[in-house]
Amino acid sequence: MKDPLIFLSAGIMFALLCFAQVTIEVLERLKPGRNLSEIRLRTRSWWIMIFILEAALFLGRSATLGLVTCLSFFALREYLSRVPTRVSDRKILFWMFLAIPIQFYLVHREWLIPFLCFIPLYGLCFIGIRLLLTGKIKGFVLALSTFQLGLLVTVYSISHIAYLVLINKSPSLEMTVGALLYFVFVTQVNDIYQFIAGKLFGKHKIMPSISPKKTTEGLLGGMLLTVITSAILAPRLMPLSPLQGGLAGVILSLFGFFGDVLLSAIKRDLEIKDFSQIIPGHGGVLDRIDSLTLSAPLYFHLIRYLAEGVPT
Amino acid sequence: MSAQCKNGFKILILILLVRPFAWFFLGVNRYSKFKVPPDTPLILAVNHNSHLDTLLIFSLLPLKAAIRTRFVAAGDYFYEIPLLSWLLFDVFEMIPVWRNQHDVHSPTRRDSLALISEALHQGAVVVLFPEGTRGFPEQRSGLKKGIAKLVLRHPEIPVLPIYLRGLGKSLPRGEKVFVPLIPQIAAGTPLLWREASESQIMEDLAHSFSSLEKTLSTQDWIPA
Repeated sequence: MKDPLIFLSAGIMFALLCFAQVTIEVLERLKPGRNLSEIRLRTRSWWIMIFILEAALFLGRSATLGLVTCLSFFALREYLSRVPTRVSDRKILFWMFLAIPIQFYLVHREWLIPFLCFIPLYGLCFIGIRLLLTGKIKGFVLALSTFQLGLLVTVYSISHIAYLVLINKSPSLEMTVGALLYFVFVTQVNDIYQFIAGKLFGKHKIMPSISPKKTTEGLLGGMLLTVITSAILAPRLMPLSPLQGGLAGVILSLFGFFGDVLLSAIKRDLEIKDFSQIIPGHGGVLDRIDSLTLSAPLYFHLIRYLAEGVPT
Repeated sequence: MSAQCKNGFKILILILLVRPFAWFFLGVNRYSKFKVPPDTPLILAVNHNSHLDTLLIFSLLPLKAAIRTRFVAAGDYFYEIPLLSWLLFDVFEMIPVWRNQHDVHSPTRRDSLALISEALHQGAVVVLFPEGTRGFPEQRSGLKKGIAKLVLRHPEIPVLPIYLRGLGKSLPRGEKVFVPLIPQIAAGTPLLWREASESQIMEDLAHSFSSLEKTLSTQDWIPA
């Protein structure tokens, strides 16, 4: 049986996108001189991204897991294309890609403990040993840490998003989409809230060397709005109380912010603006899902604990 | 195979195999496409790191230009691979160059420059790898003079220099394991020479490659 939330969320997203599109068209008429091509491109990409997400949710469990697998693949591909690699480590990149099908197979089988420990334990050990076998010492520590960070951020973390549809489901449902929709929606909304709060009240730069536009006021103002949104939204999407929803909001807002800053710091260090140009107007997949990278595992454990009463 | 049938076959291969592969594994989308004049002849000069360069250039050209694209490929190397040689030389009509004296003086081998001139007269987009071979990953090697001879023969045809970086990390020379990574692509402005000497042309081209290389990030590879 399909979760009715799929249709409801598709309707709401459609309405929001129509609103954005109409706003752009009206602005274009009112102020013909303004260049709206960038925001137009971004909105176009949003239509496509939301269509793909909703279509995958509608098609069911396999399609949703497949979509998140592809996201993880694209993210790892972008990461490995940009990080400095030693010539001798080229084959290790191939082994890292192989972690994706294994990790998502574990999600598919709902083997929770192997899912949780495959990458941090076996994956990282394997990479370490494989790196030793190359016998190259110069740059060893750097190579080890770049590869391990890459696997954790782009595969381990992202795979938790797929597992969200499998926790807390009733026997009559194939999957529940509430936790996933909530996660994606609140994280995106939080980005917007922090941006607006920063524009309105921003004074004290929080990390000027990494993200010069981010301010303490933006972070705190965005967090407050996110917590309020969360407390209202969470009880409608998941078996949570408003207070628990607020707590999830704090986690998503704070770690969404740090995930964003983490990826920005990596890009700064590598002297690139975006990881790729695969999503017109947005940059790469990793640029789009940066806010999800740190919060996904934390949110996963929180929801599992709150909704099912089992600490993992 | 008739010309129409051949074009249909080319389009099928490009749309069903080459482009999906380039999108999924190399991150090419329609925003990375080259802007190429619709039906005038053109020479593309591309640096060479990997066999995937050919595939990437094919997917970066608009379809109309891609079907009239003729690559210049090493005859001595690719004629040895059974099925591939049919695909490259018979379907995609790549122009063989011969890199050893034995082949060059063989009566059955036609002069490559004459073949390229013929293709350009038919309005083709000719793709040359002036480095001649793939060399070490992401290291530029010296340019061969064939391209200058071609320019002197056809001074009216523009040369578009293209610099690719990153495919040497995906699939370098001598490796069999392919790693899906996103290459960096820099297309220059078309070059035209009027009454230039061979050395001047080579110098301009090398300079153009260096300045394109400078626009790309070189942090992806630690040479060691």
